[in-house]
Amino acid sequence: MRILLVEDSNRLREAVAKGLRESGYAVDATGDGSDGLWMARENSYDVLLLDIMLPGIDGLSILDKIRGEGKETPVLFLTAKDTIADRVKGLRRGADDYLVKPFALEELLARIDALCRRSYHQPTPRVGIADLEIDTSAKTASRGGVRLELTAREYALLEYLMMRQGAVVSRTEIEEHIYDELVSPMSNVVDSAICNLRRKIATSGDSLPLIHTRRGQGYVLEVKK
Amino acid sequence: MTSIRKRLVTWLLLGLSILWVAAGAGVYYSVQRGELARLDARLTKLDSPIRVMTNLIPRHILSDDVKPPSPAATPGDSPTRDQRPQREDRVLREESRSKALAERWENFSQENGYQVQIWKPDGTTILKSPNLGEENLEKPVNLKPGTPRFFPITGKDGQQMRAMAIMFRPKGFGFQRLRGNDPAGRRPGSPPPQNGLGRRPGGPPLQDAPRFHHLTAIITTNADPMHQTLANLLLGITGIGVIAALGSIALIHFSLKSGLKPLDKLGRKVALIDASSLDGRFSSNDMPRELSPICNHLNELMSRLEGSFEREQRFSSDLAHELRTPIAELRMMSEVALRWPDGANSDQAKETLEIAEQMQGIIESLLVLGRYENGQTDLQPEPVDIAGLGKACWKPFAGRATEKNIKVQLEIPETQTLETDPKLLRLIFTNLFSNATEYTPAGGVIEINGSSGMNGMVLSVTNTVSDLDDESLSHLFERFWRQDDARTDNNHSGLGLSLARTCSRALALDLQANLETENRIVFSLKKEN
Repeated sequence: MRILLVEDSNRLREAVAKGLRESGYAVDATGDGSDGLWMARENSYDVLLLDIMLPGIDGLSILDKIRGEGKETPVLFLTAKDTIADRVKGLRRGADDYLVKPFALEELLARIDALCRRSYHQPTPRVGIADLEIDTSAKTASRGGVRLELTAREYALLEYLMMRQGAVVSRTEIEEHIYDELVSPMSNVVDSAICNLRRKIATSGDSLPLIHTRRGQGYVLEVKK
Repeated sequence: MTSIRKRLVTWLLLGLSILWVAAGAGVYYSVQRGELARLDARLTKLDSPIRVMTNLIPRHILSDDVKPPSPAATPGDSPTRDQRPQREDRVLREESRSKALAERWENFSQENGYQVQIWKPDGTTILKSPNLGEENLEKPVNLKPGTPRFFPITGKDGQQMRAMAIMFRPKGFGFQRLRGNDPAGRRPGSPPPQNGLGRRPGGPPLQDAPRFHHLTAIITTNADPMHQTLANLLLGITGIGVIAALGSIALIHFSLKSGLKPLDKLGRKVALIDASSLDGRFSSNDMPRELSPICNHLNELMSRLEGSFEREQRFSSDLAHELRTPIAELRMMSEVALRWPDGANSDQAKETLEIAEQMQGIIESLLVLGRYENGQTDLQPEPVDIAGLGKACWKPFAGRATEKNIKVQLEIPETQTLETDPKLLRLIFTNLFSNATEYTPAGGVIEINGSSGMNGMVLSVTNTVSDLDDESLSHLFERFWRQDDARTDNNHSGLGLSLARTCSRALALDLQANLETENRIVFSLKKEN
């Protein structure tokens, strides 16, 4: 999942970005509102984390603009404004969640997870197909009850495919949602990651293949009949 | 709690009641006085007839000087030949008078219903109207001749009557009148003049007037019609009074309801004011003139309240931001370092220290502000070398000014001194210089000038600014105020200028900021007048 973080405090921005990356999210971060708006318009994010008081354009204006353009990306405000009036104002302007500083990283991760699930219409953190299952809150995957050892990137790829199971996912979409601005994916990075993931989820020789290639289109996670 | 409506109703009802009662009483007593005057005038007209009729009373009754006539010759009484016709004539005259008196008296009392009683000074009744019968009126005392007295009396059957009492002396027709200016200068009882003076033509010679008694008379007339009229009048006044009272209550109720409607409306509007509606104002256009000043004052109050509320909200919000953000930074950095310890390094420790110092600075500034605003000052004044202190305070900012390529002009006379607390003055200078260095754009100018001995000026700091308007200028000394709404700069919390002004006040100095031009701001530190 790819997240945009717009926060003007350098120290907080870097710490949050690091925590999210370590948790398997692809994170783009900026401290300027105008840059944040541009990035939200240009890229496809799963969640936007916005501070309200920002240089350039404030967080509420960014929200207004992207909602005005029809983008339904979930937005979570991270702000020091703690009054009920501020919270109500933020939520009524179209935000999906509101978190007052200082906050716990665990809570932030749980809220981001809930927003991601909601955007992919998954009501519970446990998502499965055949005997493959992931837990989006614990960030773990298992097959036939056996826990899979996946890197953060591999888990993110599997989670994205699981969220969109049954649908063809293009390489570009995978790049947009799995890799952030710090990574410059080569043309075969996605293919390589898919190959590794296939290998890791095939726990035995008779494991049912679940990730299928659609030539010229991308990949699809499904049970072939 | 008092009520304007209740108070007005009470006073209006009380006032109108008094007015109605006074008006009714006035009408009643005017009519009563008129009626009495009418009765008294009628009685006064009887004065002359009474006097005239008393002349018909036999003279010997009216005066001790007149002997009663002998109705016939008695044995031993042998008048002379000359006296005999006179005596007969007198007897005849007396009889004629008595007869005339009896007729007039009968007519007088019967036709008009008047009751009359006349007394001699010794209390003997000499005349009484027949309609009195056996009844006697009470003889009035202390009357003065010629001055009638009017008073009410009650008849024996309870009849209300009006009486007039008079005292008079009968005129005594047929006698020589004695006057004070009698040219003959005769005294009463002196012999008549011999030249035939006093003789009526063809009549017997006039006699000297005897001294008649002062008679007291009472004439009464029926006052029942007057009392009936007054009773009817009282009934009418009472009826009108009741109707007027009911009408007044209805009128007062309607008038107050209508008159107090704007006040009720204003009260309802005021009751709806809360923290979320401080931007609302009262329109004085649809209010009566009397309420316009209240509306205007309420609007001024609301305006001040709105300003205070906004400042308070801004202060709370800014304080929250200034403290929450560094705490959030600390917490997040700590959590990340604990969960993924590989990334922890000395840079993080340095950042943690910076955050701690930033928070410490905020708290210390707030404590200093609170202490000096509450008057907890422990000033230790001494002569302070302004030039030396100014240069010493500027030193830490010189490097930063050079980095930003700021042109600095520091001109403070070496001889300039001020008797003040050097610790607080240092705090003021430091904050002013820090503000100037931080907010002067790169390549700008900072001018620090000492006093020229004019206008009590201590120090002025002028520096180049960008995007500062009069609105921003009005907030410049507010706590945590920053021109940058995003409050991005972590090096400053927005307390410096607020602290400088509070310290200035503690030192009886006045710190003001003015925009000299669009791009130049001047901070002036002066002695308070």
